[in-house]
Amino acid sequence: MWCFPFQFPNSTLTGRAPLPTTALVILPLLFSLPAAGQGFSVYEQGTCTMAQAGAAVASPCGDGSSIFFNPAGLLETEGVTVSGGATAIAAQGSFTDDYTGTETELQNDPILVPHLYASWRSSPDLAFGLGVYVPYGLETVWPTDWDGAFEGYENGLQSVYVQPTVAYQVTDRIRIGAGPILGHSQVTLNQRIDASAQAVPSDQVPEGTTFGNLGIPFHTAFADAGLEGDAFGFGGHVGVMVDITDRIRFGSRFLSPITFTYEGDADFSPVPTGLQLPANNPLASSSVSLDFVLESAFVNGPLVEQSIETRLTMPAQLVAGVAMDVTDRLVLQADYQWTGWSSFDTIPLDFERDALDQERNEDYENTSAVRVGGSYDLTEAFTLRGGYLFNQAAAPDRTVTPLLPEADRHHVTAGLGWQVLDQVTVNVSYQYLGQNDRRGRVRGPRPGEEDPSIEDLNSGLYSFHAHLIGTTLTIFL
Amino acid sequence: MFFSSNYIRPRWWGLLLLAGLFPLLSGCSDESLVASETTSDTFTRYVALGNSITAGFQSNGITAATQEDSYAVLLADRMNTRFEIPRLRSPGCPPPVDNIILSGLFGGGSSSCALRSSPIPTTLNNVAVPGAKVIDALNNQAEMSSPNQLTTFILGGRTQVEAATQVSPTFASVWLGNNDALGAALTGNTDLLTPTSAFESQITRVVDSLSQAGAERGVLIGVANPLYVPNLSPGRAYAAAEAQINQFGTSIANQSDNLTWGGYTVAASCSNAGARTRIPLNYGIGTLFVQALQGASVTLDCAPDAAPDPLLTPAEQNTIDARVQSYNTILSELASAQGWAYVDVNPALAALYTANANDGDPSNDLVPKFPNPPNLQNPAESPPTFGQYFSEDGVHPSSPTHRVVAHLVIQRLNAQYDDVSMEQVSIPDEIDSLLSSVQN
Repeated sequence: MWCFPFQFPNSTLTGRAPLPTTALVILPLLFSLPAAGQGFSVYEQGTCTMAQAGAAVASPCGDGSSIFFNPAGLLETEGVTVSGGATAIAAQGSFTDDYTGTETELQNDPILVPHLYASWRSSPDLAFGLGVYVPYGLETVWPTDWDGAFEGYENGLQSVYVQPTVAYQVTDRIRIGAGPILGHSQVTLNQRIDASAQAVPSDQVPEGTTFGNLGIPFHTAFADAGLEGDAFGFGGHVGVMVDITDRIRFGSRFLSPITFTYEGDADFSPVPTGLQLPANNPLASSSVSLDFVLESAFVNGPLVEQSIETRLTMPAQLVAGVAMDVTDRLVLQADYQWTGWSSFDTIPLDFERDALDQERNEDYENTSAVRVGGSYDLTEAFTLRGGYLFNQAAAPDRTVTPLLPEADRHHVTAGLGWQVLDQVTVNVSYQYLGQNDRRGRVRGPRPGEEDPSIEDLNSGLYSFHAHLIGTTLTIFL
Repeated sequence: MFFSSNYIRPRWWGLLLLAGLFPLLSGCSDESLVASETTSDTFTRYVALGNSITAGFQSNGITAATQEDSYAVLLADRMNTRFEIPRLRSPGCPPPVDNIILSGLFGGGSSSCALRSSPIPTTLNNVAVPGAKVIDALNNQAEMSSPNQLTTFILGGRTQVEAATQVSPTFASVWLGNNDALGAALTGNTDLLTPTSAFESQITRVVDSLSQAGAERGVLIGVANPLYVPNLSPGRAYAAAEAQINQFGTSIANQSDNLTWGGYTVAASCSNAGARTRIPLNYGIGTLFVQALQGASVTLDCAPDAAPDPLLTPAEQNTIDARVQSYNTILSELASAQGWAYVDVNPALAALYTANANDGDPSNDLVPKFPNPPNLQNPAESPPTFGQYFSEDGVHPSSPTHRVVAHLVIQRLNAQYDDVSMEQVSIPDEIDSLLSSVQN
């Protein structure tokens, strides 16, 4: 019997499939994107807010992006507001192997991440909006011919949230906002499969014997696995804003966790090993190709096309912050964000062929982020913004993998807003993401390796940084 | 004018505040690579190519314990470099024998092959394969290749060169060529010697491949002369032990109703003046001895013109000796051309083989010329058949001799490279003095 210790990637997600019912709105968002926040969260949901490091929960920009940054902030808009724009993200990363010193570079191409918001303030006390945003998404692309490809070489996750929102002025000083969320998430994974970890389909060797026990080298790619699935999920988002004084405001929001149960397909294709076992090998007296020995796996073995189910929970976010009007022109904000990454603890993989089933431990940890930012009105037409944020890594030392080689991150941001006309505003912003180098791994435990230490697993150093440039056009109707 | 100086000038502190944050972006708690702390950058990544000796084969078998005793492992330890071996499960592949004579006569040895241990290493540094000739390091499928189960167990379909270059070695040791001569010696068939031209082209390709893969430094170890192995006993030793052979045969026959000792005669041709014929264990205490146990009266005839094939006549010895010298000349010149070290182990092996051999007392020879008979009453108390410096098969060095090889290599590397200073491997005093006499 084949035993197939198939390894599903830890934590990367992206999506490309259109949503039938909301395709028109969502289509621009269905680009792959690298995570620029903590874990695989994405916080660049609007250029104005991005310029002040995302610090906005107490005083969101009046461009409709408050649907994400604080639903209660919809009351900051006037009439009908429509915003559209994009953020260009150029990420660079690498893994340097301790032993060989070889540096393997991340191969993500620069990408554009569009955003679009619409809101309508129907009365001084009531506003409505529809937001479509991608709070969780990630893509990592690595070469196929390095060790990390067995953990995943082209993987992605994208969770698109559609959130109708209503905001209401409860008292002179208190506003609330809320909306249900319909989420659609798609996950893709591509990885190499290691022949040395596969069980030998022969009665002539003890049960559990792997090809590695016959001498096949570690990380011998013999198959390529592609998994793709999608799912819908439901959640909610609430926010509150309180005017403490005329100059100081408090804001908070809570984004609920959403669990997605993915259904999809797993495809497998052979990858030639090129290994020819010489005569007198353990499997045959004459020379035999390893590919010939393994090809049955793709015909009547476990590696046939089949369905797969898995389940992931996009974590909750709780953000609280204050905004202070230091002067008539200067506003400073500070946010604290908690993200419940501990919900991302395991990835259960339920294949149609039960022999492949497994549960992969990720053991992510809850994280904190601190954002400080401000805006300064240079003139009536121009506003200068800047900010800094720090966020912890969600992945513990044990699961820093090619799928999400993250570490603690520091970001600085700067941006400029220009009121071109009474009805038109243009925002541009820049963000530099600097990530601490972090040790990580390119493999999981080998067959027979019981509870390997982190020192044994982590065999090199991941480096990562990114440049982000955003621009948004906002029209007030 | 959009940018009024009144708006900007007083607010530079804000920009300065942001600028002050930039140093944080450099990463205030970066982790780092965990590079190996080798005794020299030369040894950052060390690979060992070779055959049974380098693999750690002893006493007709190989297991994790003998693999760990390989001189290559000892070298890696002194280099303080990571060195992964193709560790085999117990009892081995095949399991080493406790006593070569008892296992040959009564069985007890096993040809079965245990599997590789789990977990398998992520890289492989000792890629040596028992039985490998030089051609096997380049091609496991060639007509002259001699693959066996261990070829797959160790290399998994790769060649030694392919496996070695995957490590991107900075240093390599190559001890190949022993099997290009040994087979001829153990079978008395010099046709099995690899032609010198083929040897030269093959070993040059091996070294070139390693150099191109990054091994700027290395060591070539000369082919061991098979005439220094005790498995090939001199006919004189058989003549001297004739009575002992018959006594041993009678004792065995007396223990079994199915056996009748027919007598074992050693012809005068084995002890005449100038007699040099060598007798492999498999023939002298194998084929011929078993015939005697079955009631036949057998005679060991060492006359070159009458010697059966397995015996090694003086002429065949001369051919083998000359061929080994040719091989080693090639290796020495190749090492010199590459800037690699070259170690010739034969002076040490010769000193070991001849130590105390001319005092007329065979009992104190460091390398017994005739195999020590086992203790039939208490096999566990049997003496080492070929002394402490060769394993039970009388061909492969024992663990102490691996230390001697490592000692010689370290001595040479320390002399060859100014920036290399490896701590020596300790060896027995009697060997140390032998080596001193050879080197002086």
